[in-house]
Amino acid sequence: MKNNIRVLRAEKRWTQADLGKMLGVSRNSVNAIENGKYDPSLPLAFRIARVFKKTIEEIFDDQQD
Amino acid sequence: MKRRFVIFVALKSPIAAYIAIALGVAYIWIFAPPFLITATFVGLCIMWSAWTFISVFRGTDELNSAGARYALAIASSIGVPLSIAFVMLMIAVPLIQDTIESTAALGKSGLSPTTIGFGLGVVFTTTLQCVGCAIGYTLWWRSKR
Repeated sequence: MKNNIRVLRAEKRWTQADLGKMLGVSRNSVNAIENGKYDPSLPLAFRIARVFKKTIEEIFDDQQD
Repeated sequence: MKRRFVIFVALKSPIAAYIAIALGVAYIWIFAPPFLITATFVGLCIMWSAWTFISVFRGTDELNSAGARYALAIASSIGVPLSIAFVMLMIAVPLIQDTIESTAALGKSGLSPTTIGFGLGVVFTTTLQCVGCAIGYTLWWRSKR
């Protein structure tokens, strides 16, 4: 699933490790999600949305599989 | 990069612990240490298993948890059929039976060859599961990088 986490993270000037710390996951997890190689669980997707103060739909796009 | 990946998988997965357990079992079988050492080893193995279980299913990093579950699935799907195949092969090939018997005779634990043979079977099956787990873990992280 495509997402724009990398762009949003860059806007906030956060590293993958920073974001991972905020979400409670490893840097590897953040990297895999950013690259679309791993789809996060619903609770993690909600956490991501909360961190960026956006809705899940604004971050993840299931149309571009 | 390849070396980094190997180190990464080795540290992330329980491969090192599996190797330590296999060596510990071999040490007990060959040198038959005092009961206290054997009991401590068994206790550590049980504690490690409990810790692994908790960290896999209660861990906060869901990618790592998912990877561990994937590795366990691969381990059982590879380990169990291979173990069964080996038993069938052992029945069919006398050379394998002779090798197992001569290996069992090497031990100094004083256990009967039947008991040692059974122990070797358990270690063999566990080893195959470990190999399957290592393969599964490596494939998982390869696909997620």
